[in-house]
Formats: sequence, C-alpha cells, structure tokens
Amino acid sequence: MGNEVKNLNDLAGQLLRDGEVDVVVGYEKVSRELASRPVVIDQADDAAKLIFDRTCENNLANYLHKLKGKRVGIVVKGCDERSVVGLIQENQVSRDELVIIGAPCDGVIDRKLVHLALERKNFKDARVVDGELVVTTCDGEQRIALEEVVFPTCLQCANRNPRFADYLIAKPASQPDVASISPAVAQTEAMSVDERWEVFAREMDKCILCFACRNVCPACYCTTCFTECTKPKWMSKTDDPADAAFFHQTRLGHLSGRCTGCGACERACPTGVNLKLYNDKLRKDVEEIFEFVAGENPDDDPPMSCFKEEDNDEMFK
Amino acid sequence: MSTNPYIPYPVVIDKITVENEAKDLRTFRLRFQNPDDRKKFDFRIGQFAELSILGCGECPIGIASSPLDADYIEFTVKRYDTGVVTTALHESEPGRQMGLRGPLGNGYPIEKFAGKNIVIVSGGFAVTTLRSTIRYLLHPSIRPTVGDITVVYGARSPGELCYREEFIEWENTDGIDVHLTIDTPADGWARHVGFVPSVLEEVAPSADNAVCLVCGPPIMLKFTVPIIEKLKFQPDDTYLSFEMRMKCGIGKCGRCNIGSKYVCTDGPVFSLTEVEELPAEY
Amino acid sequence: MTTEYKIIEPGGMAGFISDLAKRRKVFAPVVAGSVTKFDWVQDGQAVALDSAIPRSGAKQALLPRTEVLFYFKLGKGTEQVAGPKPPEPQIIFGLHPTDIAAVRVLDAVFSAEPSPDGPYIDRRAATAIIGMGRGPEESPDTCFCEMLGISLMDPGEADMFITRLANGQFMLEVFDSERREKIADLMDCVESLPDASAEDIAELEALRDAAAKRVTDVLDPAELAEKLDGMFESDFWQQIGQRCVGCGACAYLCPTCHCFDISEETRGQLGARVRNWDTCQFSQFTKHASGHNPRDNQNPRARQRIMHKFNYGYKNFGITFCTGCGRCIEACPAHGDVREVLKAIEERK
Repeated sequence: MGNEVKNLNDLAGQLLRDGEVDVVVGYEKVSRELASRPVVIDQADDAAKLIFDRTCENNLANYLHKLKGKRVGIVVKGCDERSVVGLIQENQVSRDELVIIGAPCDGVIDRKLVHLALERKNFKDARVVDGELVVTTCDGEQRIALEEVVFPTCLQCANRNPRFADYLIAKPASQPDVASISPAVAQTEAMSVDERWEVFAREMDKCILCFACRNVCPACYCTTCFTECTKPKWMSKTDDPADAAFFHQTRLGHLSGRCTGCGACERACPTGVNLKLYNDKLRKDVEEIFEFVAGENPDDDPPMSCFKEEDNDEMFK
Repeated sequence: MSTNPYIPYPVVIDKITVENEAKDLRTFRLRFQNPDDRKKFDFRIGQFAELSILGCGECPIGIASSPLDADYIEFTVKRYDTGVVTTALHESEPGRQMGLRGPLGNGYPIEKFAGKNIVIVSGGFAVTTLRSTIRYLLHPSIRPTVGDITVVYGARSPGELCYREEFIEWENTDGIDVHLTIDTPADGWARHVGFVPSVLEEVAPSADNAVCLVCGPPIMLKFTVPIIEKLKFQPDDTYLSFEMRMKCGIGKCGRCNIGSKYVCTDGPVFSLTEVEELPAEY
Repeated sequence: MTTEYKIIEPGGMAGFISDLAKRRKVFAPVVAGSVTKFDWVQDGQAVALDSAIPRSGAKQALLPRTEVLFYFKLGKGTEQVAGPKPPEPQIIFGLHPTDIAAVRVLDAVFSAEPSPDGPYIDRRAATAIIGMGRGPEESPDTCFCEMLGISLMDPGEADMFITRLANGQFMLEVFDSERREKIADLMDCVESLPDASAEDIAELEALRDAAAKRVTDVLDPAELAEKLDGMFESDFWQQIGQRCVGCGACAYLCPTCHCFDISEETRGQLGARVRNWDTCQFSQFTKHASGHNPRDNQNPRARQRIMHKFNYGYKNFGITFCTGCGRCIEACPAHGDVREVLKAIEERK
C-alpha cells in the first residue's frame, strides 16, 4: 500500500480477480502513433490492455461520474489525483469506493507541438530515447528535444507524484521546484485593460462552442449545464464572440476554487483556445484571496462551498 | 432567391378554448392574415405544423381542425413548464400575431381508407389529429367514401376529456359509434369506466375490412397495441402517430429520426408494420 | 466547352489567389498558431497550401456556424418578417478531394424533397470550389478517404482543380460543367494564364491514374450498412460510449455533419431566427419537453453518429456520410478513432 510499486497490469488483474473493485479505469493503446485513450475494464483478463506512458494525457477522474455506485480502481497522475480529491471534497465520490493507482509522471506529449516541430509532416515509429522524441518522417529520422513537445502545463507541474495513492506503478518521479502558475499570467496582468481585452477577444474568436473543454473537465458535472437551460435561456450559442465569452467567463466563475489546473481542457480544445491562461489566473487569484489551493486535501472546504467569517472581503469594497 | 422553408405564414389567434379542468390544454383557432395562404396551406389529416412565436421559438403540433374547415385552422396545445413556446402560447390572448409553418409530415394515407371501416382509438390529449380525422370523415362529401366509424376515446376523468362537447355531439350522430371512457368512476358518468385497452377489448370492433388509427401516450400504446393485434387488425392497416423533439420539421436538422426514418417527413404516421421495422429508440 | 488546362508558376499561386480575391470572397487554408484552419483571405500570401486538411474545414462557408433564417421585427399587431440577405459570391480554395466529396453529402441532404433548404441552396449556388489534389505524404495519416473510395486526385464537384506537377508548376483544370456559367466572373483570372502543354496534361493524367490505382481496399458501403442493421441492440456501442465525453469536437469539425438547432436572437424589438450547429452527441439533443429522452446516455448517442454516417445516409441517399478526412480522429479529446470502429464492425460476423 502507499508507496508500494506494483506492475500496472498485475495489479489491475489482481484487484478485479479479488473483487476489490468492480472496474478499473486506465489507458489503452490505440493504432494511431503517439496516442492512447481511456478504457474501462471489468474483466481481469483485460488487465493486460492497460498501459502508462507519455501519451496518457486524459484526466480519468472525469469518468468517475459515469461509474457512480461502482468500486473503481483508477489510474491517476498527480494532476488527475487533485481532481479526485476535489470530487471527494464535494461528496461526488467516496474515498472508500476508490483504489487509487498512482502513476508518477514527468510530462505527457502534445501532438500539436509535435506537428509544429515537424512542420506538419506525417511521422511514424515515435519513441522517447534519452530525453528526445525520435520519429521517422519522409525526410528520414528526426529528433526533437522533449521540452519542445511536452505539454506546457507539464513543464510547470508541481504534482509529478500522486500523494494519496494506494499503490504506485513506478518509482516516484523527481519533482523540480516549479511554480504551477504559468508566467504568462503575470505578463498578461501587466498589460493595460485594452490589451488584455484584445488577448481575450482573440482567444474567443477561436472558440466554436463544442464544449470539449467542459466535457473533459472532472469539475464540470452538472446534469444540465447552464448552457443547456432554455428557461431561462442563459446564453445563446451563435458565432457572436460574446456568446463564447459568456460561456468561458461563466464556466470560470463556476470553477473558482475548484479548478486544479490539470490542463485537460486546453489539451481537449480542437481550435487551440488558450484556456490555461485564464484557469491559471483564476487559481492565482483564489490562492491570494482565500489562501486555498484546489485538490490539496480531501478534508478541505472549497471556498465557494462554504462561508467563513474570516473570508477575505476585499472584492466587496 | 430560392424558397425559404423556414419563413412561417403570418396568422392571428382568433379564439382560445380551454379544453380541460387542469387548464393546461387549450385549443387555438388561427386565421391566416393573407387568405390566400390558407389555400397554400393545403393539408391532410394526420399532418402537423410548426407553431411560431417570433422572439420565442417554434413547437410542432398536430393539426386539430379538418382540412375542410375552410376559414380557420385549429391546434390544441398542452402547456409544459419547461416549454418556452407552449408557455408563451398559454399566456396569449386572441388577436396575438403568430406564425405557422407547414403543413408538415406524411399524414394518414386516406386513399387506403376508401371503402373500409375506420376504428379510432385514443387517449388523453393525443386525440388532436384524430379529432381532425373524425371531423373530416363525417363531412358529407367524405362520409360516403368509408364504411363504419367506431371511436374509443378515454381520459383520466371527465374534466380531462378533450373536445368533450364535440364528442358528445358525435355520440348522438348517425353514422358514427362513439365510446367514451374514464379511468375511475365519477359522479354523473354513466358511460364506460376503465382504461382504453380494456374498453377496446369490450367493444371489440370487427377487424374485417377495417383500418385502425391509434394515438396515445406510450403507456396506453403499450397495452392497446396487443389488444388491436388480438382483435386481428392487420399491422399494415393499423396506424400510429409518433412525437419527437423537432426543430426544422423538414428532415434537415437531424434530430427526430428513429433509425433511418425522420418522424417529421417519413412520419409522424407509421403503420404497425413500419413501426416493427423501426429500431427501439423512441 | 471542354476542360481548359492552364499553368500557374510556382511563385504565381499567391498572385492568382489575390486576383481571385478581388472578384469574390476567398475561403482558404491558413496557419493559425498550432492549428490550421480555413479563413477568409484577401492576400494570397496568407494561404498555406501544404495544409491539406485544415483542422477546421470549409463547411463554415456553406453551412455557417450561425446562419440567419429570417429577420423579424416585433410589435403588437405589427410584426414583420424579412428574408436573409442574399449570400455574396464566394470561393472555397484548395479543397482536398476528401472535403470536395463531403460537399456532395451536404448538397444531397439540403436539396432533398419535400422541402429543399433555400438558404443552403442559394449559398451553394454562389460558391465556386477550387480543389487541390494531394500526394499521400501531403495528406495527414489520419486521412482515410481512399478506404471510402475517394482518390487523392479526385476533383469531384469542384469547378476548378489544382495539381502540383513534378517541376513545381501547378496545373489548373477548369471543368466544362454547366456550372462554368456560374464562375464566369472568375474566367479573366484564368484566361491570362499560359496554356498547359500536351506533356503537362499527360503528366496530370498519369498522376490521376496513379492516385486512382491506390484506391484498392474499399469498404463496401452496402455491406457496412447491412452489418450495422444487425447491430442496433448490440453492446458494441458501450465500447465507444464508455469513453466518449459527448462534446461536439468531432461533429463540428466534420465536413459532412450538418445537424443544427434553431433559436431566436432578439435585441429589443428586432431579432432573427437563426440556425446554429448542433450535434447528436450532446446529451439534450433529443430530449422532449416532457423530459423523456430516447437517447439518454452516451451509448445510443455514439451509435447514432455511426449509424447516421454509415447506415442511414447510405439508405436514404445512396452515399456514405463520411469521406474519411480524419479530422474527428485528430480532434477527439478521448482519442476515439472511427477507423478502429469501422474495422471492428467489419470483423463482426
């Protein structure tokens, strides 16, 4: 238990065989290069499917809602585990219904950055060798430094190791001293209001309201989202950028004190909206105003869920 | 520019009748602002239209008046608290402008009814397009084209019977045999008491040379269709009418399909044979 | 009128596009940060022709994300309605054959009886399509159009088609269809170009032949539709539904997906009834006012997507509602892959 390192496939098989869990949520390979996907298995024989590598970017805590009532073995990276902690804080899931299978991680790969680095050439035989991503393109073998293709979120990750795992599937990763808020936040804060609006408007122009960001977010679990209400109709879903702006501003409001900065939303966005900038700003503000970091401890009270007399009320002045 | 099928005909509400005790069922009698539009809006029994309130939206409602009611067109609408348009409709007054898009859907295949006996089975407020059908069939120009007409229509209570006065008039009309029923006994109610399926079994209209038109809530259909089959009505001659969430009503927006069929264009009327071929996603 | 064959010099493409842009709005692939997309361009230099399948496609030009169906003015007793503005003439430039084939799907659905869709038909009539053939290295490896019978050099419904020749020049074909009258306004951009030689035309035909020869292992749409008929109740859909998050990324980027919602947009007394993109993947898509939802979890919704594309589309129109562009594969946040789904279906007995 705790920091005991076990083989992922053996562990998953054993948990299912022994009936300790009803299902295991993990990742499996896909036929496409440099990608993997979430999988839910309920047969011990299927445990051999599970993998964990630098393609495992999905936040599997998002799937806990669909699995309510089941005992779940869940593979989590440090970032994903924060989302699980958040769900426990909000009584969406109970700790004793979970077996947390911790996956130490020092960064997952962003295919968009790989495409950029290769100038959109097709690639195959992708593998990580000595801190480099090695691929074969029509021009032969190419090597790219990992830092160029790892998700920016991950480069600033202060959560490389899960903290509440029942088991680990690898030795702990080394944890560099990093701030988990992107430097872009301070840069944007330093801009004038008009400049900041321009940045925001440019991002909103890209949004097509596909709701991938919302749907991959473990903290977004309302059965009827405010975007789906017809009475009252809170928002329109036209190509007026004001609609995208309203959606994101409202979602940010709903995520206050709940967003853990896992980055799943930004990775999910098909049109490249810079969501992380705003989520990071939100987390920075929450930490400054409420001295609170989301996903830290299951016993914490999220600031928007409860009132404390000593709460900071600067914003009301 | 090509014809824009999304632009409704302008209509005005002439008259509003409350149909039931709960006051959540109202019949709206509409008049076309341009009389020519009524001629363009040439509809068949069983078809529906999209009722439009500008600034509010649209909702698909079966046509409740007969195609031969020349000067007006009627719709009976149930109010849903979650429904933006139905709520706005129920808060409207005569004189309010509205829009009408249609006629939409396939309607009943009246040409297959020639010379046949017609058996009509319905429950609750699903009876609207069947009321249109009964009115149409009873019209002197149409009546001779079909045989006997038998109707079994039920509601929870006398206060929930739709078109009550019209049905009572038809009880006393020659050439149509009407059986009204309510779920449980009520003071002053001397007619059938019991759910529609059991009353239908009791009345046992002959399936010989007959077609059966049945329309009702899913729970009623679940128990009525087996009775219809027991009475030996042919699946080819038994017709159901479906509801679905709709938007365009013309087979474009991709929303109302059951399998490969769109309820708005291939339906809403389907024979039991066709229904049995549809996958169970309704 | 027979097909005209013209040559555009390697450095002349940007100028050609700028020329076209003086006559009509041009929707062409551009680079946008870490993704590529179709966008309106005035300057041909902005066009990235190596972006074979831009992340967001050209569907926006035919079926805009938001489209006014009609305008209205409210008022007690004085309500008025006015049709939308006639669409401006436009060009979709650089369309990959998989995307050209997708236009055929939209055309079929929106022109179908009993109610042809006026707004779409008018916009389509005002659109010239200039396609571009691609080599296999130039198409992303997620593109599987060949599996669906579409060759990488297939001009389909395009009005003009560009092919890069070995020496770097571009061959421009201007087809002899009745639509040529509709692109009469563009002909002076073309007339000034030098004619292609007989050798150039021979090279083009060889390229087209070679591309056609690559289309060998084609999925049989009738067989696929029949297999799917037997799978409606199968627990197969759980495999997709369990990981699908029910967003609109696949449908919104898909060049054949066309489902829409209709809504009222009002400001004071003025407003419009518009249509917006919608998708069967959203949880409330089929929810009735009564609260009943025939597809109330992701399994039947995943089934609907596959059925509509590979079964219903084929049954109702004789064409598959997927042209293998692979955008859904790149875009899916849960890393779903329609090719794997098709393979799994094919392998079922």
